Amino acid sequence: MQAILVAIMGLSAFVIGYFVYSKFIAEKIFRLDPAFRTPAHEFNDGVDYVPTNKYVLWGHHFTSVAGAAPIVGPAIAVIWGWVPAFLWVVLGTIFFAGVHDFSALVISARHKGESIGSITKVILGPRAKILFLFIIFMLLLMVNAVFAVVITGLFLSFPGSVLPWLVQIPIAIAIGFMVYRGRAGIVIPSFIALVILYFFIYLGTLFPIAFPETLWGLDSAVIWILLLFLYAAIASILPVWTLLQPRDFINALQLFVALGIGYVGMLFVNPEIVAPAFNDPPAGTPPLIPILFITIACGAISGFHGLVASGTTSKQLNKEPEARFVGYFGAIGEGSLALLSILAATAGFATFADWNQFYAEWGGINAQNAFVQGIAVFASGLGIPEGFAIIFASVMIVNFAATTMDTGVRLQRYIVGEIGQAYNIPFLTKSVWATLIAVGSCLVLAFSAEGGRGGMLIWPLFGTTNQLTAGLTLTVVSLYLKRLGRPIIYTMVPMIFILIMTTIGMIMNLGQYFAEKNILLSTLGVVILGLAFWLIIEAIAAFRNNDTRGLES
Amino acid sequence: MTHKSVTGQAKQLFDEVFVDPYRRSLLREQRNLEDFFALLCFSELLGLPNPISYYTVELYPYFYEDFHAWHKRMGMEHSPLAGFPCC
Amino acid sequence: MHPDLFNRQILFLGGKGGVGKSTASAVLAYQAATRSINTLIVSTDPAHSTMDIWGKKIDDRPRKLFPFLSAMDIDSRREMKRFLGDVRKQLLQVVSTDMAGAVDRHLKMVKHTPGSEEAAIFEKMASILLDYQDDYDLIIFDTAPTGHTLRLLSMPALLEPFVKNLLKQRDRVHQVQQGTRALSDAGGNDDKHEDPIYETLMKRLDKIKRVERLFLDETKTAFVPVTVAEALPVQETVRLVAQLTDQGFPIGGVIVNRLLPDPAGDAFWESRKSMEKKWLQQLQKKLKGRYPLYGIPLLDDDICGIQRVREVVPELI
Repeated sequence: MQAILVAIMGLSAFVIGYFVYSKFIAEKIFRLDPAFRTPAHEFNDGVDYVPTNKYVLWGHHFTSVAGAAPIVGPAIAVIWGWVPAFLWVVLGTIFFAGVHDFSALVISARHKGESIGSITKVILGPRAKILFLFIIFMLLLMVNAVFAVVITGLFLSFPGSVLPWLVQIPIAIAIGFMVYRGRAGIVIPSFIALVILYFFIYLGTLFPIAFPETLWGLDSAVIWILLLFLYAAIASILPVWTLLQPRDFINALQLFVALGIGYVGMLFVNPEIVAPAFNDPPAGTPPLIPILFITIACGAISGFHGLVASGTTSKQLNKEPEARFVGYFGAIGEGSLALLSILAATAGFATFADWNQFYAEWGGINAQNAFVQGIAVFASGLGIPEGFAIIFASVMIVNFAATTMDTGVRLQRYIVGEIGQAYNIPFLTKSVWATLIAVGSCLVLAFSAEGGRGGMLIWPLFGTTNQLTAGLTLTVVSLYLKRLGRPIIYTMVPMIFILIMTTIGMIMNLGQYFAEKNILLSTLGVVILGLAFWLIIEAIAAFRNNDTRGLES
Repeated sequence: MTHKSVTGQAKQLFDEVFVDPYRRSLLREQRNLEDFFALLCFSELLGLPNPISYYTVELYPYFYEDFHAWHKRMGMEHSPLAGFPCC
Repeated sequence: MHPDLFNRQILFLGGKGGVGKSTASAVLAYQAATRSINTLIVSTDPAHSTMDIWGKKIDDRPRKLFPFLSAMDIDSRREMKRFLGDVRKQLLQVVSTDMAGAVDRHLKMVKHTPGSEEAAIFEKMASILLDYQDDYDLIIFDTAPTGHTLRLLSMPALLEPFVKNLLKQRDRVHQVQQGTRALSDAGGNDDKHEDPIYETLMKRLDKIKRVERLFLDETKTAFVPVTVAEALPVQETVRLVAQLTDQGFPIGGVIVNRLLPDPAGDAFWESRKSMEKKWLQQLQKKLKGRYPLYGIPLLDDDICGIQRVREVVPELI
């Protein structure tokens, strides 16, 4: 089948979902009120609370949630063939992610723009807040470890990406300083920065940087992971304006450029999907149900979006009904990126044999490479040389993942500090120790995956934790709707579905970890499973009693 | 639509979508620093000795506008300045 | 006669309560005036014995007593009232009028905060130094008892680091402001936004620094402890001199008040006189003879009115 056709099918389904289903959810279930005074107006402070045009806010929201995860997950999941991944991304976006992101935004807007963590405390009780903190800590742990492995995979496969990645650090810092010193506006410097970056992508194709297979007795993957965490530790301590913010800014620009190149290039190339609709996966691949649903988290439903939608985006919502566009369409943006990833990983290969060879072994997939190569093929339709396009796409993922690591380590440090404060362990509140603990725990996890080369081992753990977070948000939203006397089926069904899938998936993974006698992953698996059961119990208990906590009049 | 207004609109869109989050992150840092500054000025309210508290009084008028927002952010529901008008 | 003292532009007289600081100040001021040195005498002692001495009402503006001699005093309550009154006026411009009562209640509290009184006196002292320095050849401060004086003099050293720290923090705010302005529509405009807080603090720092410089300048300023030749006052004077020199304040000499007249054979007074001599020697020894001692004789009556001040002529011991 032609990739364009699949893209059109997917995108039209998104559009229909937006115009029909989201309208129904917004008007009939949540009964959004144009007269409602949103937190952006009530607490307008020009910094956090700012009424923002809905298209602009959508841009903010989308660039905050889009990252490396919606690219990697779908690129892995096509191992079962393109149809299951396609269906889960499309249906997941319409019935799960859209509703989840949208409702997280609405419930936060109706609670003064507070984060889902605080709302959990209000609606589910203080014990659930602790559950929430645990889940978030696990999520960050997984994200950092997984992304270090993803970046390492890219650096090893495409050594040309190293140079432009290195160069982007001083570029971002230079922009940061220029802005901070009040020297210039941002428009021209940022375009100059992009030009320099693209020039170095070109140079990268000429000067690949790679370590020898082993150095000082260490595997090159190990060296990369150590360096990446050293980088993340330093970056997470720097003030946000020095590196994080300016690079976020460059990444946001890159995201739209990449989406444009991907979809427009595809029009010109008009590639065939070489992967089968349903694939008989190689031995050792876990069963499609339930593992598909935790492999693709971002792109179908992701708890991480709830964190951004509540607490950040909700503070800028101009009018309540606009939550539909910002939240639901934000999920669609993410779905489109996931869809592009599916297409790149299935239509970016010349022949089925090539594809089959790439996806020959579950544990050994460097799924992000499939996306990178696919994008390069699409980009060739716009006359962009393949070598350049490969490094371009690779650097984009690397930067997404690196920014996420930087933020992730930073947030983990805060949580460690909070725990230190709560339990009166003073040294944990010192940023050096908190950072060491954050980075150390991630490092251990990253190395547990076959010396940093087996990203597939921990990816399902990441997906599971992400889905658990989404499950918690949906529980809170359902409870809120129940107390309002509204139908809860539209949020309950997705919630029950993902809780069942993650629980079964986790039990299966645990069996595998036990069999491999992998103590670390077994322990983590047990902890996550424990959190899942804890969440289920909290949810059942909350639905049983009929109090009306947390209802804003 | 003239050419100029198209570029103008593009620039505005660019500014709002990409630059605005960046700008607000700096504003957030600015606010944190200003909060800390206010804390230094009013530290005697929290029981910390402040030898210049008499002199910081002359800064009150400049602080007044932001004072309410400040003590709210500092976790004090009502004005810590006994009887100081704001809420 | 006291060429060393009258070469200076600022004299601080201080010492234990009851040793006659006001008398000594008045005598010095008068002697200066008779030498056509245009002199301002400022009383910072809440006890206000200066007014008793001159027999005239003295207030917060220099009042000419006779040629070359003016006097004024610093009343901390009056200064606080004025200072807080200014703040009140400015505050009332920004808050709504029905909140005036609350503003007053708060400012009243500030008035009773520990340290406010000294701050108010220091503030006025600084203003006098900076404003009247050019109008007078000599300004004599008749200060309050010892501890009070020391705290007053150490105000600049105490305040300066605090104000500097505030300015540093404010600078950091401005730094980020530059960044946010660079990202605003105008894009890196250069006109410096004025920050009244920064300017107020800068003015404050400038004033503190100038006063401190004056305090420590031995060509312009001298501290003159006043004492009497008795055990406790002498001990305290030695301590005061040590503390002042520790902080780098120049000492111009020590005035010994109420020196006994010639005992003229009377056994009782002979004995007192020898005690006095002993304490004077003790004082000389402890101060290692570094500073000149000036003596003021004991009089048969309280010094009251210009008439009596005129009669007193201090001598170098």
